Amino acid sequence: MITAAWIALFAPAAAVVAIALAGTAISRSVAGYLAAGSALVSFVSSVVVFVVLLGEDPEERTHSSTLWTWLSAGDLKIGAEIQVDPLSVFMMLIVSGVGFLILAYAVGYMAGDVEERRYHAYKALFLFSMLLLVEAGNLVLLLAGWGMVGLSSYLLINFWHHRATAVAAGKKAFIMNAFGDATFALAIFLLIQRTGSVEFDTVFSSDVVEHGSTAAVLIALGLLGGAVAKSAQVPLHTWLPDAMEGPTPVSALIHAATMVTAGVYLVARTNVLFELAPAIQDLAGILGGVTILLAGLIALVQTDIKRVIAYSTMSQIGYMFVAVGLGAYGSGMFHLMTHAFFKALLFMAAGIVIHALSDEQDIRRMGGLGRALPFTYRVFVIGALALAAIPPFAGFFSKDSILGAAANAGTLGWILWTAGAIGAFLTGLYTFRLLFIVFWGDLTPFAREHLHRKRFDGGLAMAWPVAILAVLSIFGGWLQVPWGWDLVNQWLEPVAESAEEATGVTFTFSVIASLVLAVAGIWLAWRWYGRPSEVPARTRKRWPWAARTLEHKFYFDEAYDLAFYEPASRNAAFLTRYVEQPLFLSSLGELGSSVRSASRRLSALQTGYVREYALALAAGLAVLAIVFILVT
Amino acid sequence: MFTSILILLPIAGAFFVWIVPWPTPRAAGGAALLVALAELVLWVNRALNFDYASSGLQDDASHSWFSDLGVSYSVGLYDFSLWLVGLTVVVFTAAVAYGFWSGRERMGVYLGLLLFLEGATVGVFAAQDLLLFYVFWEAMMIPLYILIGVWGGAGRMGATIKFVVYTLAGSLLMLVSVIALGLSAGTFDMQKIGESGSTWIFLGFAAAFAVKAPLWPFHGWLPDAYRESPAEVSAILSGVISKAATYGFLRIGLVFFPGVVADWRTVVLVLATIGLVYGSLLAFRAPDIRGVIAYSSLAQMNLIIIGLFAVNDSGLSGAVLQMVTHGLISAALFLIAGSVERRAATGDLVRLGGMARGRPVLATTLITTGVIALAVPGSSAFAGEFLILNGIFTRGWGWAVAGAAAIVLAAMYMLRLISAVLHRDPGPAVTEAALDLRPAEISVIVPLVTLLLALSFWPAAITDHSFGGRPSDTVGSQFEASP
Repeated sequence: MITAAWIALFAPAAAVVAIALAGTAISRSVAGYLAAGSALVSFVSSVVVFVVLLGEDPEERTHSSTLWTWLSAGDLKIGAEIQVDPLSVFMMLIVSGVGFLILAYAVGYMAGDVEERRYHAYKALFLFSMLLLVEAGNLVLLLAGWGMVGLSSYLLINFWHHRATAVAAGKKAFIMNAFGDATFALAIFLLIQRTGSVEFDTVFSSDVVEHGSTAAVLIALGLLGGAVAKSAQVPLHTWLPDAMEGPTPVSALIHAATMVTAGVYLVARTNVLFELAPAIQDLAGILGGVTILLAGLIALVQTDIKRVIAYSTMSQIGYMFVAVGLGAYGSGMFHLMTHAFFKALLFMAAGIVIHALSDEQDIRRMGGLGRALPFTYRVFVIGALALAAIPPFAGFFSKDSILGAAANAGTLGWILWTAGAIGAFLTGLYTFRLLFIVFWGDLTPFAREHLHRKRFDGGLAMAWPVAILAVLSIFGGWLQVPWGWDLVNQWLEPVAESAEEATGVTFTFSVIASLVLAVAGIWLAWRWYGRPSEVPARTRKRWPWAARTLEHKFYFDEAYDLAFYEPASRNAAFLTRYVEQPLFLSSLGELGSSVRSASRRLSALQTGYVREYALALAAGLAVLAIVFILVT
Repeated sequence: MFTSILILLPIAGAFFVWIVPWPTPRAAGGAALLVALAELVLWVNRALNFDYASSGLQDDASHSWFSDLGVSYSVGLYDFSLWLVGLTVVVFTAAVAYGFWSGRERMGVYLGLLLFLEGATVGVFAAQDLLLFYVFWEAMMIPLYILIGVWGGAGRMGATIKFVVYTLAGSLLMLVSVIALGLSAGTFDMQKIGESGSTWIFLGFAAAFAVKAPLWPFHGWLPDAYRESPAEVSAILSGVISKAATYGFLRIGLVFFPGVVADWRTVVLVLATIGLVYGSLLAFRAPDIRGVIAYSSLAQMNLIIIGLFAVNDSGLSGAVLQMVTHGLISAALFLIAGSVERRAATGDLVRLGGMARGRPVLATTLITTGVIALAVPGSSAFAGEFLILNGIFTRGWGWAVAGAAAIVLAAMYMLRLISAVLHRDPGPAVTEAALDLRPAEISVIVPLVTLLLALSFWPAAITDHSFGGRPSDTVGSQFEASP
C-alpha cells in the first residue's frame, strides 16, 4: 500500500524526466499524454491507498515509509519520508484526480503553442511537487514540496515569457512566496531547537511548547506566514490576480484547485501547533474573514474574466481559513474539495470562452455567448450555482458547514459568520455579474467577428474533463449533508478533530440566512447586469472614490512598492554608489593606477610582480615576525 | 601515497604540457584535458572506497623536511576535505575542458597553469603541516595572478593589481602567524599543534582567509577579478579558491583557536551578516551578469562563514555541504555567463534578453542552476542554507532572521538575472546568429548541473559522510554539542 503512495509521488517526476530527455524525439501531444498519463497513474495509486485505509481501523490509518536519509547533521536526521493518513490521502485524491482532468484538458488547450513540451513537463513537475507537499512525512520535506510548488507556479506563470507582464507576475509570485517560505523555515528552526526533530509524530505533540507561550505563538506565526503567502490571503495576496498571466489550465490547477489551498492543508496538518497558540489560530480566521470581504468586493469591478475568478478564489480560500481558524478542519477541507471541483470547472469553461474568442479575456467585449457556446454556458451555470452555494450544488454543503461551525464558536465566530454571510451575498453578485455579462444579451460586435467554435464549443479533448467536473460540482457536496451525515469530518478525525458545528435553530438560521443573502446577490446581479440597466454606471458616478479604491484593489500593490520594493531598490543603489564604489572599488583602483605607473618602467609584467612580491615578503616578514612573536 | 599522487599528478601534468613541444595548441590542450580527467577518475575511485565511518586522517603520508624546526611534508585527507578535493577536481576538469573548447591563446601555457593551480589547490586541502599549507597557499596565488593579468579582459591590469595587493597583505599576515604558531608549539605538524589562545596569531590567519573568502569588508578585489578573468578562471576563483579560505577557517581557525573563535564570534557574525545582506543587495543592482554572480558569491561565502562560526553540528554540516554546492553553482553560472557573453559580446543585462526562445539547453541550464542558487526548498543549496541557519539559530535567532531575509533577496536577484537574460523580447545584443549551447559547452555545463540535481536528491551524501557523522565532536571536543 505504501508502495502505491510512492508510485503516486514519483510517476509525475518520471514523466518530467522522460519529457526532458526525449526532447523533440516525441511529438507535442505525446508529451501531453505522458504528463496526463502520469497523473492518472498517481490517481489510481491514490485510490488504492484510499481503499486500503478504508478497510483499516480509524486509529490505525497512519503509515509512513522512509526510503533514504535526505539530509543529516549530527543527531538530526531528515528522511526522504512519506506519510499516508486520512488527511494526506484526502489531498492526494483531489490533487491527482483534478490534476489528471486538467492535464488532459491542457493537451487540447495548449495544442499549437510553440513550446508545448516544456509546458507539459512543468505541469508534471508541479504535480510531483504538490504530491510531495501532501505526502511529506516530516516538516522539512513538506517545506521542500512547498517551495517546489512555488517554483513550478513561477515557471508556469511566466510560461509565455516574451510578455513583460507575465515575467513580472512570475517574479512577484515567487518572491512573495519566498517570504512565506522564510517564515515557515524559521518556525521549523524553533521546533528543532525544542524537540531536536522534524518528524510529525514528535513535533505534533501538545507538550512541545507551553500552551500560549511566546515560543508557541512564534511557531504558529511562522507557519501562518507560509500559509498566508501560499494561499494568497491578506496581506500577502497581491500575487494571485497577476498570476492569471499564465495559461488558463495553469490557473485552474495551480491557482484555483490545488496549490493555493495548500495553506489550508498546512494549518490542518499542523493543527496541534495552532491549538497551542489560540491567538494565532484566531488570527488565521480573522485574515480569512478579511479576505472574504476584500476579495469579494474587488471581484465586483474586475473586467478580466480570469481575474474575476481569481479574486473569487481568494475569497473562497478565505472561507477555508475561517474554518481552520475556528478549528473546523473537516469543514475547511470539505470546502477545499468542492472548491477544487467548481473552481477548476469555472476556469476551464472560461478557457473555452477565451479560446473561442481568439484569446480575448476582457468581459466588456464579450456578451451573448450563451447561445453561441451552449455547452460552455451550461457547465458555467453549474459552476456558478455551486460557487454561489445554491442547493443542491456542491458549494452549498461545504459553505454551510463552515458557517455552521462559525455560528457555534462564540463572539469571534459570529463576527466571522457575519463576514461569511456578507461574502455569500458578494459571491452571488460577482459570480452572476460575470455570467450575465458574458453569456446573456446579444452577441457583441467583437464576439461576432472573432467567434469560432468547434464541436462541444472547444473540441472534445477539452469538453470531457469539464463535463466530469460539472458532475462533481453537482454531486460532490453530498459527502457531508446537514441533518444527515458528516463523512469528511469522520474521515479526518484521527488527524484533525473538528470543532462541533452549531445545531438546531442556530444552524437552521445560519443556513437560511446565507441562502437568502446568496439569492439576493444573484437577484441584484440580474437587476444590474441581467438586462440593460443604468444602475452600475450611476453608482460608479455617485461614488467615484469607492470605484477607484476597488479598481486599485485597495492600493496594496502601491503600498508594497512604496514599503518594500522601492526601499530595497533604493538602498541597493545607495550602497552601490556611495559605499561600494568609493570605499571598495575606486580607492584601490586609484592605488592600482599609481602602482601601474610606477611599474611601467619594468619591462615584463610577471617579473615585476615577482620582484615586488619578494621585496614585500622580506620586509613584511622581518618586521611582523618580530612583533608577533614578542606579543604572543 | 594516494594523496601525494592527487597533488602531484596535475603539477607534473602542467610541466608535461609546458615542456613537450606540441605540434598544435589543440594537442597541448588535449593533453591537459586528459590529465584533468585522469585526476577526476582517481578521485572518484578513491571516494568510492573511502572509510566514511572514521573521522580520522586517511591516506596520510609524512616525510621529515626540516626536522630541527619540526617541519615536514605531511599530507592526508579527512572525509570533509575529500569532498572539497572532489569539488576541486570536478570544477577544474570543467574549467580545463571549457578553456580547451574556447581556444584560448597560448593554450598549452594557459591550461598548464590551470593544472598547476589544481595541484596547489588540492595541496591546500590536503596539507597537514602548517608551513606546507602556506607553501601550497602561495603556489595557488601565483598562477592566478598570471591567469588574470595575462588572459583577462580589458580591465585586467587594475583587477590584477587589486587582487595582488589584497591577497599579498593577507598571505603575509598568515605567514607570520604560521611561523609564530609553529615556533610556539614546537612543531608545524597540524596533528600535533593543539590549541592556542593567541588572538594575534588567529587574526593573522583570519586576515588571509577573510580576504580570500572574502568576508565583508575585505572584498574590494572581488568584483573586478570576477569580471575581468576568463570565464573558467572566474569559475575556479569563486567556485574553488574561495573554499580554500573557508576550509582554512574550519581546519585552522576553529580547530586551533576554539577560545578565540568564541570570543570573536560576534564580530565575525556581524561582519558576515552584513556581507550576506550587502552582497545580496548589490547583486540585485549589478548591471551585468558577472556582477550579479560575483556579489551573490560574496553573499554566499559570508553565509558559509556564518555556518562555520555557529560551531555546532548543524552549522558545520551545512557549511561543508554549502561549500560544495556553491562551488558547483558558481562554476556553472560563470561558465554559462561566459557562453552568453561569447554570443552577445556583452554581459550588460539591459542589452540582453529573450534568449530562451529557440535556445532550450541554455534556458534549461541557466534556470535550473539559478533556482538552485536561490535555494528553492528541496534543492541542495536549500539543504545547506537550512542547516546553516538552523545552526546559527541556536546561537541567536536574530542571525537566522537576517539570513532568512537574505534568502528572499536571493530570490530577487537570481530571478532578475534569469529573466534579464532569457525572457521578454530579445535585447539589442541578441541576434539570430546567437545559437543554443554547442555540444562542447553542453558536455561541460550539463554534468555540473546534473551533479547539482543529484546532490539535491541526496544532500546527505555529503552531510552523512563528513566529520564521521559527528561534526562538533570531531572539530574539537572543546565545542559543546549542538543543543
